[in-house]
Amino acid sequence: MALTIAVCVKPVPVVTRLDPGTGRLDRSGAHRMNSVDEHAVEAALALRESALGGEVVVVSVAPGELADTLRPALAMGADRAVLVSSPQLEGADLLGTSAALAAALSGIGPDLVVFGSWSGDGNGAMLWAAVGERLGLPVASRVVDYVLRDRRLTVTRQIEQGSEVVEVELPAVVALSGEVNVPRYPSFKDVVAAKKKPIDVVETAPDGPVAGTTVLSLEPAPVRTGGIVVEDDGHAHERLLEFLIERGVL
Amino acid sequence: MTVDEAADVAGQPGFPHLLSPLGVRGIGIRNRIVFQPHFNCLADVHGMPTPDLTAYLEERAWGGVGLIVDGSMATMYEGQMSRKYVAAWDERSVELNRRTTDAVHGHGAKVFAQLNHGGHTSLEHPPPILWAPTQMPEPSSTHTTKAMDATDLRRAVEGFAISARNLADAGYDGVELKIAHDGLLRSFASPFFNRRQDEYGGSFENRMRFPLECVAAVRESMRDDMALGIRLCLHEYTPFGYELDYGLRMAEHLESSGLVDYFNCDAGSFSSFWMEIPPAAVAQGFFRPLNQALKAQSDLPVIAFGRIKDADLAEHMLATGEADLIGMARQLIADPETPRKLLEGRANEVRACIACNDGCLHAVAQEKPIRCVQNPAAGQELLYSERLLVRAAQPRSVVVVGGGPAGLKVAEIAARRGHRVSLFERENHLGGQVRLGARQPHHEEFAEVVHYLEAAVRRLGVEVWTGSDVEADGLLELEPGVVVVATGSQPNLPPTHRQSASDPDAGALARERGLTAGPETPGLDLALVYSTDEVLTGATLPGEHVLVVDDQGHWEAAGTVEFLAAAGHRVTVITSRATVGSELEGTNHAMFLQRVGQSDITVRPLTGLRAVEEGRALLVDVVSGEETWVSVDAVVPVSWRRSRDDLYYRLHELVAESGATVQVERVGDAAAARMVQTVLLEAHQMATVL
Repeated sequence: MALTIAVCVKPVPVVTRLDPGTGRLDRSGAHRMNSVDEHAVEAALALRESALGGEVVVVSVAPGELADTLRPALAMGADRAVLVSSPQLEGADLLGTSAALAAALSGIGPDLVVFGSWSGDGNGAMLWAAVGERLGLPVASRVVDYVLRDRRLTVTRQIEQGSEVVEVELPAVVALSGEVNVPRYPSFKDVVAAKKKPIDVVETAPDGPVAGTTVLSLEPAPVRTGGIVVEDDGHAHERLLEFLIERGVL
Repeated sequence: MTVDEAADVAGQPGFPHLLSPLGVRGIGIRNRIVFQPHFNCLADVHGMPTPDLTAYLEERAWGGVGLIVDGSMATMYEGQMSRKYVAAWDERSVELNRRTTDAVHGHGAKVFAQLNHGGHTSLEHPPPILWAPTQMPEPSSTHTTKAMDATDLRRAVEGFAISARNLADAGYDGVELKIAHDGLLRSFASPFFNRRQDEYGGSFENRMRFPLECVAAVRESMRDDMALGIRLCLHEYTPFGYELDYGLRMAEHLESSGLVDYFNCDAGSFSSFWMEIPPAAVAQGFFRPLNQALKAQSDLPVIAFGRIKDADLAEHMLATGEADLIGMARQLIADPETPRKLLEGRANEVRACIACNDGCLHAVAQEKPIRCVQNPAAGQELLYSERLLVRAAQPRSVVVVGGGPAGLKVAEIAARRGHRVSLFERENHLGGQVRLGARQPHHEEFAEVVHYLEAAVRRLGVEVWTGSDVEADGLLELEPGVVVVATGSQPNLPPTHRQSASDPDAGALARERGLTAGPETPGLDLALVYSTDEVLTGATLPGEHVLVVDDQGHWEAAGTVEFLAAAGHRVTVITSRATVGSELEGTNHAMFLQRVGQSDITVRPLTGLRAVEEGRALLVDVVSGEETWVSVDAVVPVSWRRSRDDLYYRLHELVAESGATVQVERVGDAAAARMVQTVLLEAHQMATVL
């Protein structure tokens, strides 16, 4: 049963810094692939291997000059990459990005769409839900384990009270946690081969608005004040205990 | 979320106290960071400031420091601890010093100068005549002193006065007198060194008389708008010397004179010089109680001292009122831009001092210009300042093979110059031997070398591939413009030794071609022989008694000895030299020997290794030639390492065969195994011309 698996990945800035002028992330520096997305790529590759075939396609929405940030996924073993890039997508939020991704995914027709659960730059953790909605596919999020049998994917979801096991039928969207696996290290041969794998840059933008939110203001987090310093004169533990008891912690 | 990512998202903490201005005698200092005075050996052999010295201090002013204390400078020929101490008494220094004050002021920093009479201490070998209150050697020295007579006392005071006048003329904002870890003035104040029975000794007030005469002479010789400070040793940390209570009494006495505008804290002496310039084995912030005590009693601004490199600690010390200013010498040697980075919200880009003392203290103690492991430009800013980096006219594709310090440094500088850089490391982690060295006891901070470089290359967008073992033919498929081979080195054990199973034999091609020599001691291929790399990566050695052979002289041997002792082994360390750790910097060596004395480690200097057999080793007394067998369970020979250069040779051949125009270079241990300081400089040099 050969599968077509799409992995949605995001280039994120190596250094996360907000531009006080625009209120947006400063994207002038170097980028890398979002770290949780490496786990998503690993899962897709493992699924392809267990399914004895198919294709793993990396999909991203980002400026064209960041195409090389997808290269690690290709070196890990993904077959090709699709990068949706358009000047109109500048400043896109969940609205525009999910529309662009959904359009690109429709063109690929994947059996499974895999996401990392969150992005390390803006701490967003909703894109998979929006894409699932646009594609009309079932979504399983916060996935820490999964088993694929025929076209049924049984996943273990991490929830606040513990974990739950749910089953989805393909095609579906899953968002994985970082605990799900250990991403492989590409061998040198893989890295060399990845240089020759295609990254298709698709320069189209979805119809409709790309952003539904506007940053009105930006305030830095307040600087933490001094707190209480306990110098240990041999009785520090007593003062710590008093402090905790006074506040009802103990 | 990784820790780094969490820190990024949380944003930068501010440094509201550290970055706030302060006035000292009305002199506005833009922030609380002070570049502490230290001998940098950048003056010429006549004690004249050089363009290198000016550039060294200008670099720190550019980097955002609030106040620089330039010096020490010598007050007279007889008190010049090295011919390369700036000769402040000599009026020819005035115009040359003015270049420094103009350059520093040009960047918005203030600059004081420190004056010192060397007294009973000198760096020269043999020392010139040494002056002291009472004739006796400083205990760390074999050279005795001249007891000063009335003429000497008068001339010494005049030396301070003339020098202060020259400094005023040169445009300094203040003058600091050294009653600190070396020099004449502390020896007068000290009950141990001052046994005089005249008006300069016998009582506390009498012992303080001469230092106060010098302070008064300096105050009278400079402009009223200049600040006068005292660098004050608060605790000598010797069995015979004074302690904090006496140091505080000195401070109180000096303050009550009304002549002093600020105190700069200090501790130690030549007889406890590991407390003057404490190496990494002394905890960060160790001296905080001294700063706190002086701050608590004094109404004057207090500069804190003592291995303060962490901005958060510095901020905390100011916020809690331990001090008014934070003295940093080595941190600003390692990263002159520290204050600027804090100001710009780039605290996580600061390159931390590792307190190795190898580049700064070790060099200048031998009267050689200051250097720094972390900062290849230190003391040679005119050649290698990062401010001089220029973007490459033609960006090239640079492939670096090896993610140890050499490869990382090439990648960092090449990327900063606009080259497209890829770096391959066969291990899953970057760092090479630095990661191993940092596992030795007291060497955790050594890892900062790699922390900085790894963060830098990732920030700069270097394509980093770990767990990726490069093959020569595949490299050319990447179509590089330059390949830099930085593949490191391997302990020089026979190729038949077990290490070759996990770490493929390095240098096989070189050996075939007669380009490297093998070890000649019989038995080094036996199973009881372990390489340092095996030991530090966690090999379990058999039995109790381990013999370490120190034919290296530095931490690869000495630190491995301590590593093994900490793991519970009974260690015997031999060396054919006069002492174990013969290449270690002095403070490190002294503290190493102190720890050896408290451990289950036996030291046998002047002893060589002749042969190893199962369960025993043949030792030789290198003086008498007498041979002895000793029972051992394991042997760790630490000698020179051989370059891992096979890839370099194969690449050259492949490039020649293919006719491709690829520049192939090797750097670091792959060229010749060395200390990390020279490796990082070499890597910097290479990357600036790619």
